[in-house]
Order: sequence, then structure tokens, then C-alpha cells
Amino acid sequence: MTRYLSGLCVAGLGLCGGGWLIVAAAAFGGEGGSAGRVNLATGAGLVLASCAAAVAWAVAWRRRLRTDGVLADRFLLVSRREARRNRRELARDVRRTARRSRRDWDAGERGSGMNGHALNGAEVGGTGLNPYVHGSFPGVGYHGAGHDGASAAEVLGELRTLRGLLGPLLATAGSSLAASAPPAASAAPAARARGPEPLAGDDEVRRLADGEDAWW
Amino acid sequence: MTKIGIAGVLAVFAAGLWLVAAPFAVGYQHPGAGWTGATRTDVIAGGLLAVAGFAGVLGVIVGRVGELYADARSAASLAAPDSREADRRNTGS
Repeated sequence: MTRYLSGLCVAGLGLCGGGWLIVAAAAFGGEGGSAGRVNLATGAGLVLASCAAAVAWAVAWRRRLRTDGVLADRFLLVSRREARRNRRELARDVRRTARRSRRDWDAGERGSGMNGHALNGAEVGGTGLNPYVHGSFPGVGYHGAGHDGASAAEVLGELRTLRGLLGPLLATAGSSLAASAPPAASAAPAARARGPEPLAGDDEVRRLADGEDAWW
Repeated sequence: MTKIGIAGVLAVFAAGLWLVAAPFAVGYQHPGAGWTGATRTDVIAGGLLAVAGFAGVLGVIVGRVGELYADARSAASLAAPDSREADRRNTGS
């Protein structure tokens, strides 16, 4: 590092000296013709040599730093032009998707999906199924295909399937918890051990839908 | 690149020497007469540049020699475990 620093310092001093000589040639130009010419020529040559030396030392130092791993190489996976184009396309896709989802949202609000026949069923709200409802509504039925009765029926069908699958598991887990927990704290596991609670029907679904509206 | 840099430092040193000698070599400073302003400027600037160039050359040499010492030290530290291992293998201990 010492040699790079000293080389750069000398190059800077040479630049200053060359500049001073050029200024001096202009200042003392009228005093003697040969002195002015010598100063001007020497100053110009000094400036050029100092510039070359400074650039050379800087490049050599950077190369050394890169070799030592201090400076990281820049790996451009894509060119700048391609990156700009990708960015534009991505922004366009995002705008188009937002417009389409807004249009679907408006169409869905006009539709009768949430009040359709599928959601009037009585077996939607189980306590263990709420996470599934929250997770699946935005993607599948609610925002993906609108509020039509068919997609809501599909979601309900999946909910029923999941309820059938998860119900025995929850009952088993609840009974094991109830067996291991102290009597004072066993109210909730015991309630879970009783199996799925009676389903809330339309109220539960409407509550979930309100939650989704607020979220959106 | 380093060679170009060293050449630049040497050029600064040479320019300093030339500036000190130029008034007398070119002849715009007559021997025995008082120094003119141009001569004074050239000698002072040339002297500073020569000193700076000399210091730069010394700095470059010192830096290079220091790097060589550091490389030799690191090479010796890398080679030392190998030689110890080889000695252990040869002696069977």
C-alpha cells in the first residue's frame, strides 16, 4: 500500500507543480521569451506525466485490492439495458394485474356469490378450520374467481373435506391434551376433545368475509 | 501499470532536476548576475519537484521491499507446518 500511496502523492504534487509552471509561464511571460517557453513546455509535460502516473497508480492499486479480495468484482448477470427492460415489463405486469383484480373485485361485488346458495349451507364454521378459510379465500375463491356461487361451493367442498380429515386428528390431540393437562387448565382441551363444535352457518362465513373485506 | 506509475514518478524527479538546471542551461540566467524572478521560480519549483520525486521513488522502493518481506514471511509460515510434518514422518515420531 505504501508504494501506491507515495506514487499517488507524487503524481498529485507533479500535477500541482506543472500547473504552477504553466501559471508562472503566463505570469513571467513578458520577462523573457525563453524562460516562458521552458516553463510552459515543462509544465505541460509535467501535467501529462503526472496524469498518466496518477491513473496508472490508481489502476494498479485497484487491481491489487481486487486480487486481495478487498474489492469485489462486479458480476452483471444481465446488461443494464436488459435490466431496464425487465423492470419496465414487471411494472407493466403489476399494473395490469392490479387493474384486472380491481375489475374482478367490482364484478364480484355486483355478483351474488357471497349470498348465493353455496354459502347458505350450515357447515362452514369449525374452530379448527379457520386458518384454512383465511388462507384459501384470497387465492382461490374470493379474489381469484370472484364471488360467484360455483367457486364458493368449491371452497365449501374443500372445507368439508378438510373438516372430515382434521376433525378426528383434532379430537385425538384434544383428548391427549386433556389427559395430560391439570384439571384447572383442561377446559379448552376438553372442549376440543368433544369434537367439532356445532357449525355456525352463514354467520361464520359472513364474519370471515367481512374480515377479508377489511383486509383488502 | 506499476511500471507506468514508476515512470511517472521518475519523470517528476527528472522534471525537477531539469527545472533547477534550465535557467543556466538555456541561458536566460547570466552567471554572476542576480537571479531573475523566472530563475527563482524555476529553481524553487524544480527543487520541490525533485525532492518530491525522490521521495516518491524511495516510497515505491520501500513499499515494494516491504511487500516482498511480507510475502516471504507468509510463505515461511505456510511452509513451516509442512516441514514439521515431514520431519515427523521421517523420524517416525
